Amino acid sequence: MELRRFTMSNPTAAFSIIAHEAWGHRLSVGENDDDTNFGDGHNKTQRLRNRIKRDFNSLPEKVLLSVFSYLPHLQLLRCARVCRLWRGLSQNSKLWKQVFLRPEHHGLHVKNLDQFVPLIGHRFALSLQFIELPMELITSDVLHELANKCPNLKYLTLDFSTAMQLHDFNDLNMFPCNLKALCICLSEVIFLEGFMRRIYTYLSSLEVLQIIGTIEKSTEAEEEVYETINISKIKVQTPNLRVINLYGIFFIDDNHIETIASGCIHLECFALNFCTRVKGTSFKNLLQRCRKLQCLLLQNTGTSIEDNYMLAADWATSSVSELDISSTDLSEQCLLDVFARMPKLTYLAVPNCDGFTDQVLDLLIDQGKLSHIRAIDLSDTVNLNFEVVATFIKRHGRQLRGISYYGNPKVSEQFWTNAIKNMKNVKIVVIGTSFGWFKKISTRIHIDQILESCAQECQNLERLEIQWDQETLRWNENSSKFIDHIRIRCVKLNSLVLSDGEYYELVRSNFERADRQRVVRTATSDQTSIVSLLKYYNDLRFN
Amino acid sequence: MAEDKIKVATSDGGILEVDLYIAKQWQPVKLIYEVLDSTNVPENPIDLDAISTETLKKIIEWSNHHKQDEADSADNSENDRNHGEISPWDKTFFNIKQEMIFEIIVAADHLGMTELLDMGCKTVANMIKGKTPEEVRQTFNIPNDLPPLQTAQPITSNENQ
Repeated sequence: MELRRFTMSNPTAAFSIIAHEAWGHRLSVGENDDDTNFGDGHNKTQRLRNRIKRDFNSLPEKVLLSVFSYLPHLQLLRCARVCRLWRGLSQNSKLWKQVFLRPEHHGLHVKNLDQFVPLIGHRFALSLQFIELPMELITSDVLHELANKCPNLKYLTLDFSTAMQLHDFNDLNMFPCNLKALCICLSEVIFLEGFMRRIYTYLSSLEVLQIIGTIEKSTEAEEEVYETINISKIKVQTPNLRVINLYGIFFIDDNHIETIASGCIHLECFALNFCTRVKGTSFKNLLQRCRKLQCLLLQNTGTSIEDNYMLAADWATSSVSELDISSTDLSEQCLLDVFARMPKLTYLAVPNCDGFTDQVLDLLIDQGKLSHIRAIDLSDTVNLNFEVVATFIKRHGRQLRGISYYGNPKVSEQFWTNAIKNMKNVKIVVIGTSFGWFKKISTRIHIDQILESCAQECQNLERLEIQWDQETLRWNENSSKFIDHIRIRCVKLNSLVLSDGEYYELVRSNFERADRQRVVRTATSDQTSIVSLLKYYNDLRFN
Repeated sequence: MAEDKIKVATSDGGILEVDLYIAKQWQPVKLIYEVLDSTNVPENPIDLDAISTETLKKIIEWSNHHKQDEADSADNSENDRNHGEISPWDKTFFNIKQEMIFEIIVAADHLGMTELLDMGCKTVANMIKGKTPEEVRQTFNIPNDLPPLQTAQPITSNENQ
C-alpha cells in the first residue's frame, strides 16, 4: 500500500477515504474510485448505511463536524490524537472560527511561532472571524497572514498587557482591514505609538473599540501617568464607531472625551468604567454632539465626577436609556435634578451611591422614568430604605428582567417573598447581605421560603445569588423539599450562588445528584450581575 | 380537523403511521407535498429510504414529546447554542446504545430535524469531553491509525503548565 501523504490542503476528505479503506469498508460497489465527490461524504455513506453497523467514524462529515463544534478547542486538540480521521476533522477550518490564544484567559498556548504562522492560512483561513492574540504573537508575520488569508476576520484582540518592550514594526505594511471590533489591552510600561502608527489607516471600518487599561495590574498611580496610546489619532480614523469601551485607563480625562465627542457622531454606547480622572466637564458636549448615545457607563469613576458637570449636561434632549453611576459621589440634589430631566431608563445601576435616597427613587417612579425599566441595581445604597424599593417592585416588577438589591441589613425574607410575587419575568436576581456579623443583622433569614417563592413565581429564572452568610441563614430539616422545588420548576436556572458553608453544600449536592452540575457555586468564586442585560453587553465583553 | 395520519415506509420493510403534523416537518415529506401540490394524503406510503423502523419510532417519540416546545419557544430570544443544557428528558431519551444514537443523528440530518440533530450532536460531544485520546478510542471503538512518532504540535493545550 502506498504511503499516503499528509497534506494540509483538504485534509478532511483525504482522511475520510483513508479511514474507510483502513477498516475494510468498501467505498463503492461496482463504481469507480475516480467517481468520488470530495466535498460531500453523504453519497458514499448513504450507500454504506444499509450494510454496515453504524459507528462513529462512518457518520457523514457534516455531522461529525457538528459534534466537534460543541467541543472546546482544548478537547479538539486531544481529538487530533485519536486517529487520522479525527486529526483531519479537528483541523477543519469550520471549527476554528473563533480562536483564543491567551493562556491566562482560557486560551490555547502557542509554543512555536514559526509553525503557527502557516496555520493561519491553512487552518483558520476564510472561516476565521474572531481571534485573540497575546503579546508574543503580535508580530508583523502574524498580522500579514491574518490580513492576507483571513478576509472574514471581524474581531481582533491585541493583548499588550504583559509586554515589557515593543517589537519593531517597521516592516508591518498590512493589517486586517475589515475589522468590526478591535480590543487593545494596554501595557503599563510601553508606548504603543510605534505599532499604532502602522495601522491607523486600516481602522476605518471599526464599529467597536475597546481599550483596556492597566487598573487591574497596578494600584492607583502615584507616579506619572503615561498616555500609552493616542486616542485622538485613533479617533481621526474611526468615524463609524458605535461602541467605545475605555476600561480602567488612568490617563483618560475629559479632554479625551471631548475629542471623541467631536469625531464619533454615531456613538451609541460609551463606557468609562474605572477611569478615575473623568470629572464630567465633557459631558455637556458629549450629549450635544453624540445624539445617538443610548448607554453611558460611569461605574467607579470614583469621587471625581462632580455635581456641576452632571447638571450642566442637557439630559432632556439626549437618548440615554442605560445609565450606570455606581460608586460615584453625586449628591441627592444633583440626582433629583438630573433624573427629572432624563429620558425613560431601561437600565439603571446606582450601587454605592449615597446620594440615591428615597426621594430620588420616588421621583423616578412618580415621573414615570422607570416605566420601561428592564434591569436595576440598587445595592449598597445606605440612604435608600427598603419600603420605597418594595413600592418600586410592586409597580414595575413585572417588566423586570434583572434586579440586584443586596447590602441592606434590614431586608428580611418577608420582603423578598412579597417582592418575588411581582417579578414573574425576572431572569437575574441578586439579594442578601454578606458580612452579617459586621452589619449586625439581628434576625435570621429563612431561606426556604425564598427558594419556594422563586420556584412558584419565577420560572424564567436563570441566575440567582443569595449573599447572606451561613450564620445568618436558617433552614428547616425538610429544606431539601424546597431545594427540589426550585430545581425542578426553574429549569433555566444555570447559576445559583451561595455563601460558602453547610447550606451551600446541601444545595450543591442536591443539584449534583440530579445531574445538574456546575449550577451551584460559592460567592468566593462567582459573582452575579445584571450587566448582561445591557443592550450592548456583547460588544463590551473582554477578557 | 381529525388526526390526519400518513404512512411511511422504512428501510427494513416496515410501514408506520405517523401524525401528519409531525411528518410534515420532515424534509422528504415536505418535498413530496410541494411537488404534488395537493393537500390530500398520498395513497402509497412515503419511502423514507435508509431509516430503520426502530430509528423512526424513536424519532416519532421525540417529536411527540417536543410538540409542546414549538409553542413555548416563542419567548426564546437568546439562542445560546453552547450553553443550552440538554434537558433531563432528552438525557434519558439518548440513554441508549451508541449505534442507536448515531442512527438517530443521521436520520435527523436526513429529515432536516435540526433540533434533534443538535441534541444528538451535543450528547455525543458530551461523550467525548474530558477524555484522553485513548479513552475516546475505547469509547467509540476506533483503531489508532496514526504514526507512532508525534512531532511537537505548534498549538498545544496549556494543561501541562
